[in-house]
Amino acid sequence: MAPEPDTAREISRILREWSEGNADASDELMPLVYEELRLQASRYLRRERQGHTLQTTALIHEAYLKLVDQHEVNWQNRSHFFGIAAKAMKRILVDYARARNREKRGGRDENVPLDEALAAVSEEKSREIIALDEALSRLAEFDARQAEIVSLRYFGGFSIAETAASLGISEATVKREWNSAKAWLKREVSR
Amino acid sequence: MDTDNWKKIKRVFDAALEKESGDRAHFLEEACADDSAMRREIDELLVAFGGAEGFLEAPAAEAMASLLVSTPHRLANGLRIGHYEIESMTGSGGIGEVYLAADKTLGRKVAIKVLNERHLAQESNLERFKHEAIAASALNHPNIVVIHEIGEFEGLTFLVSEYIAGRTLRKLILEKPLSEDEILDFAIQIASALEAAHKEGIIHRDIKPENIMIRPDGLAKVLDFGLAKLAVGAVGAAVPAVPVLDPNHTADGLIVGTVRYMSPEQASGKSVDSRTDIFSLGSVIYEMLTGVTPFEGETLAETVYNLKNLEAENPSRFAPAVSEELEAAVLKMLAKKRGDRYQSMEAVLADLRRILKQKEFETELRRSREAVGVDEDRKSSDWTSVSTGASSRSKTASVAVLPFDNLSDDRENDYFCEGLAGELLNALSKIERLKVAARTSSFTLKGKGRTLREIGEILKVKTVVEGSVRRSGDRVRIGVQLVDVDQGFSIWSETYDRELKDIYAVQDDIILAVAEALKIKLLSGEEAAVRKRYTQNTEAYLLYLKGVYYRWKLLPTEFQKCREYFQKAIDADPLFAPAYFGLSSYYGYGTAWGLLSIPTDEGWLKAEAALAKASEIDDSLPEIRLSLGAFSLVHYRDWETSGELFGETLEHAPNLPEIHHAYGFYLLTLGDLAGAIAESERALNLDPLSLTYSRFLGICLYFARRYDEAIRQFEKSLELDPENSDLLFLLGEVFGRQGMYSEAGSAFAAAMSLQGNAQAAAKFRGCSDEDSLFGAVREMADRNLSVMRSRIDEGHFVPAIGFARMCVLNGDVDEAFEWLRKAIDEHNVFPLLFNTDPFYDGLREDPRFKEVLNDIGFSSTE
Repeated sequence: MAPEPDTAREISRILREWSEGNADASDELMPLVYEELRLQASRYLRRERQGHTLQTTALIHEAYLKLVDQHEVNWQNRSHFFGIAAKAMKRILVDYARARNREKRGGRDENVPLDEALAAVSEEKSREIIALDEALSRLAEFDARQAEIVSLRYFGGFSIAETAASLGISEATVKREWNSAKAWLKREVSR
Repeated sequence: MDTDNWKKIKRVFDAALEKESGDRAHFLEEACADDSAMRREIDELLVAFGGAEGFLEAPAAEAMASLLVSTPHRLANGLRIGHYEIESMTGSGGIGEVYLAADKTLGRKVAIKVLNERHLAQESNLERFKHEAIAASALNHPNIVVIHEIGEFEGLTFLVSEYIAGRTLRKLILEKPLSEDEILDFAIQIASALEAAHKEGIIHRDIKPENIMIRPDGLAKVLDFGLAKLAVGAVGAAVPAVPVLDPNHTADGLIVGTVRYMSPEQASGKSVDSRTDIFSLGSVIYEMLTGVTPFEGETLAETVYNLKNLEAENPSRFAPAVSEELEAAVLKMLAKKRGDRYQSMEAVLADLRRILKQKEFETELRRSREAVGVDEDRKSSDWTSVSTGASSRSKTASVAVLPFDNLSDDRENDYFCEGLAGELLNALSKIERLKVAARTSSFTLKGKGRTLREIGEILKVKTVVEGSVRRSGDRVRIGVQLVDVDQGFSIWSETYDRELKDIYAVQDDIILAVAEALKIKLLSGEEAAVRKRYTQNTEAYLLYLKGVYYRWKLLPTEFQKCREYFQKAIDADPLFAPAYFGLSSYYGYGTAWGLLSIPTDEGWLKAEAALAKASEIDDSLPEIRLSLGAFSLVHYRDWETSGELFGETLEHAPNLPEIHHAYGFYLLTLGDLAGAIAESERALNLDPLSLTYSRFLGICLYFARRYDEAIRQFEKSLELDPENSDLLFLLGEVFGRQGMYSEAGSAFAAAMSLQGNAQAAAKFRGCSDEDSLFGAVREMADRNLSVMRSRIDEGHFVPAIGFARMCVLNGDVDEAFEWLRKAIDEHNVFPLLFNTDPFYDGLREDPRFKEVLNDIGFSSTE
């Protein structure tokens, strides 16, 4: 379902304002993108039977096409949108993981037995994603660009080239930053 | 970590990565020099990097896809789907997730199961699943979970069923060994559910302890009929479209269900029939007895091998106390060849029941031999103590009936929903040992967003009957349940799909089932009273229900509508006593309170004629004597007769709030204010949310000159109906007597503005002393007088009491007496109040007032 033309224009307006220096713009955009991605992701996954192949970038592109009025925005706006989408994706995953953990911890009704194997797998992954999210926040405190790179690459599914283009830096820089960020995060989550 | 520090570390780290591992140590020693903290940091990072192969490589969402799928929150907490609100997820499994949700219209909890889309890939699967699930639910079997609805939401298929507060049999088995009595009890309940389903050609195919819920009162409920069928398609093989109702033609070639409880034919992927459920039930009983399933192996393959090739060990090997009969029955159920098993669930059930009887008999025998002392077998387990609790509860059984929800599209059917509930309420009231909350209070609580527990507290009842009606042409679907408000679970529930003409049978069914569920044995005569039918004519009955619906409306214009429907009901069935009674009560009540625009004499004539007809056809209704008493008092001012009739009614129907109201009014007219207050309190106790009784108590207190209490009571009444101008006038009057003029002014102002008279409202609002208040009152009285005069000029009937009161207010005493005398001739309730109403205190010294009282008949009774 395509958004109302007004919504698309509204989003484009927000993106333009952001490029004109309004830092709050992304706060406005986040909920819209979040909802669209969440819907798409779950719709997409539900349609699949087994061996889900889910391409984050495809999802984000689709969301972009749906949400943004193409005529109204330029390339910078577009890459900003992708940055937000990557963050939205991160939030979706973290939210899911948190929900999963909450329900594992307590308050579970004994009404229906949980599929134990499935629960165990998801639980481990849930813990991973939450730990990573927390570490990433710490990283952002002293190296915002690295955190941004990780966000785009890992949560947005961007390739090195796409990440470089999006951030306006060289691919070599992305690669280099990626290595140390990965090492630091790995150490943090294994602690 | 600070930014500059990190920049330095990064630089060295990046450079170190460039080096061959052999050169790295040397490089780092130089680069870090004497900064040992940085050296340690970089060493750690390098180690971490070495172990980070694959880390963060696959994009998160892709790696987490299974999480996204298996994790629920497809339905977030608080999400509204139709009239359901998701409260929490309670579980998930292969077939989908289950949520606890609140049904906002019925105020009950439901379970919502969202099915995984992949099982529904084939449209035919979904249809068959729906068909089977609904068919099983429609059996109305107490041991089969009731499905309320199957619907779709944003492309998700979900199934709404009754919420069962209880535990799965799995949980119970894990907790403690079950006694053989309990095992037999559960087995019989499950078998009886399956037998009912089999008779309709529905096979469960996935009987296992996880699919059986046990409520705290010991009632077993079988879940998930039809779901196993859905899973058949899920495996993905081409499944021919199978006629669901033919048990002999099910999908072949597929392994579904839980292997440990599967029948050999199911495990071999052969076609199955109802005998597969017999085998699975055998496995479940076996596990209840021994704690293990009969063919359990270390691995899935081993279990399947055992199932196909080995005979089950005798249960007594694991549980020596098992009775021979039960052991034999279980082994027969577990026969490899289905031809060697019981051939029907009916036969299983018969055997299980026989075994239970036998055991009971033996226990009795043993007990009688032992005469006294504790019998080992009878030591009460958790279960028995719970069920004892249930039966002791019945000693004070109490119930409220809420108006049923109208699920039909048109509001027209509201009357039917309310009417049906009202009829159930009436019938239940005939059961002596059951306390039934009164109509007005129960119906007032509807739709106020209260939980059943709160409703139970307000009405002081432990259980609530609630339900829903979907009407389409001549067919109705009625869902009803009896809910324990403390525990929040449904004690009993049913769904009836019937033709409208069978409505009586459904009502009877519900009443008897409720009585049974509450463990009330009906006394002789009670069942007949409950089942009593006043008409066989459905049309007449429906018209009557419509009449009753409007009869209870407080708004005069709505109230007026009841006449037409009672009359039409009489036209449809001229021997329909309650319709005559309804018509009589319309004329009687309307005339007594000056609500009709016909002269009082005419009103009484019609009221009495209709009442005579009703009692001629059937004089067993207690309300008939009540009406006769009221007519005697208000129409004939015959205190003696009315006192007798009220007395008789009080004796016969002590729990009818109306009689206490009527008798209280009777006492009030006689000046027995303490008695009137006591009676009105009784009425209010029985029907705590009734505006009429609440207001009446206020009036009694006011007449008793207990002004403070009267004010509080009127304020309480206003909480029930904040926009009631009548109450505001009464309140203002009491404030005025108390010398609280500005309060009186604002009460009158509120009343006037509710009546749409902004000008008068403004006048009252400014009042702060006696003079200004009475000035405004006089002005209002003059205006009302002119309005009433023009009403009369237009040919309407206006009760004389209105004129009399306005003349009292504007101080025109002579005119007031003229109207008071006229009012005496109008036989409504108002003259009966002259004796005690503080309103007339200013006239009491006047000799003319004594004459008026004499003419009404007061002197003769004093």
